[in-house]
Amino acid sequence: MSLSRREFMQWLSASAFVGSGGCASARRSSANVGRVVVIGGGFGGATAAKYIRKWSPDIDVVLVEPNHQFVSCPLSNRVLAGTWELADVTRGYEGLARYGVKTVHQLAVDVDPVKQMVMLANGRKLAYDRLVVAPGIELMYDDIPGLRDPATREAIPHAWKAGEQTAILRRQLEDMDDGGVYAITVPMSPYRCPPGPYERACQVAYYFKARKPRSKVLVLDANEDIQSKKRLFRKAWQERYSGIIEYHSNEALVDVDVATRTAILDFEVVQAHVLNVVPPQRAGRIARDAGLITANDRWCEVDFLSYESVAVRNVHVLGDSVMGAPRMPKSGHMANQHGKVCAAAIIALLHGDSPNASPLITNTCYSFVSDKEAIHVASVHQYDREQRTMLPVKDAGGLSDVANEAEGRFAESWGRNIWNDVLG
Amino acid sequence: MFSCLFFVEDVSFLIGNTLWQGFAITMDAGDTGFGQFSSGGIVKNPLGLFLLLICGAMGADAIAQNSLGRDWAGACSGCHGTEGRSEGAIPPIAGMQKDRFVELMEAFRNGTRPATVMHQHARGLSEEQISAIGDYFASRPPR
Repeated sequence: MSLSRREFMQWLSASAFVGSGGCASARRSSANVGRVVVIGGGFGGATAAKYIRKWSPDIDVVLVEPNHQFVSCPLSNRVLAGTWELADVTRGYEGLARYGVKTVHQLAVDVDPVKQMVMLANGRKLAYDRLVVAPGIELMYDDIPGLRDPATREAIPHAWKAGEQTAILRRQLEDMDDGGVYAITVPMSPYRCPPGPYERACQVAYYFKARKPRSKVLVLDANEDIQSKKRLFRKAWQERYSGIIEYHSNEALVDVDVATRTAILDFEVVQAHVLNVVPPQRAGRIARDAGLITANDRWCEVDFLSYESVAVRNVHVLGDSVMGAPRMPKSGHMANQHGKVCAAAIIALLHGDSPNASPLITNTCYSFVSDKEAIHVASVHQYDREQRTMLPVKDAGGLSDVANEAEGRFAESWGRNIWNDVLG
Repeated sequence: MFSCLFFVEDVSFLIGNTLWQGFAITMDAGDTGFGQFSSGGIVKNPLGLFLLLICGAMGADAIAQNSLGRDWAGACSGCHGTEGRSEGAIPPIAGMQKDRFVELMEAFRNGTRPATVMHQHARGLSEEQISAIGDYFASRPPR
């Protein structure tokens, strides 16, 4: 006698054991287990929104983002060189709808962590079970009296949030006569995108070398040295842009005279034709208003297993606003990694499980030194249970040997892939 | 969006003079991150005595194991695209055979395969992570 497949299936459907297995899956497919509101549709927030829905369609996700388009800071320095247009680093949010993410194009103005409610600029309120706060950075003009009025930033752009500011800076570079000086001021670390200012110097110098060869690039750095890929940037500046790029360290910005485009620094006064002030930064404003800033009055400390705030329950913080773990840069790539770890943790928590106890994150930052050649810095970070933080793996990570075109092609591919990963 | 398929296989074997009828169940939970997991049991014929041996294994451990691969593979998709479906110069890894994946990672680790950046990433991963990530990408459709 043998059990036929049909008899077996009948037995199977009647058995308690399969019932419980079936329950586990039904629980995830049908009943709604909660609602997540995500503030900020950048590399961190949009990634978290997409992946929560992708991995767990039984969770409602609402993304709150005032901008109608995503403009990538990574690779936007190529727009300054004229290699790319702003459109090349711009994407829409429509891909997220395929995952069932509801996007609301509004500014989040306040959070009530007791009632678990987000207030929007249009007066609407959104209730949440879990909140993700990923607002990026707030630029700190408090200590630069000449630039406190936002209108001055058309004359003295930061271009540290890509979009209109990038276009303004590009226009100023185009309008500048040959023989002019472009100066960029770099704030003390930590700031968004550690290699960004030095890549920008390369990109502007690349443009000058081709189109305005008597012009100069001045890097006025508040830090004591180049903050990322030092050896590679020094080499690029020496070999490619000798006589164009000049680097001054330990020069913190004190004030700016807007009318004459003059930077007043600790030890010198520099008049430029195009002055690009990258001010100091802190976690985005909504993070402060929600009481999430816990470190140096600037950054938000989190539990690196879930990115839940150490200060406010059921609220998670991602990306540049996070007080980084050792050697964790404020980068779009890192924010994308935070987003996936946080998504998995929120799914686990809303289903009554514990977050993955051994998260893995990596970072690869490409910088272009010309129109085609790029360099990278990479790192791998594993969770350390004793220190309860992410630590870089000692024998992993590193820099490019030399700038090369293969990495230029990888950098372009990286852009397409990470924008797809963030936005669907 | 959600799909969950059970595959059931009949297995028969003899131990001593007794014919044992067994079954194996594979569940494919599609895109939920549960991935695939298997369980089984043994039915002794002709007495109809049911011995369910491995049922417990179908629970939390199998699920945790599968979402680990999914979570760790999230570290790769920043460069290689969602589920490893890359566009452009970075190689796609969706649907890559696990053996091939493990072999490549080993070659990056020991430097026998030249790379611009992958050797620096491969050296940061544990054997367990490489294995679980390999399982995950092998289960992902290339397109």
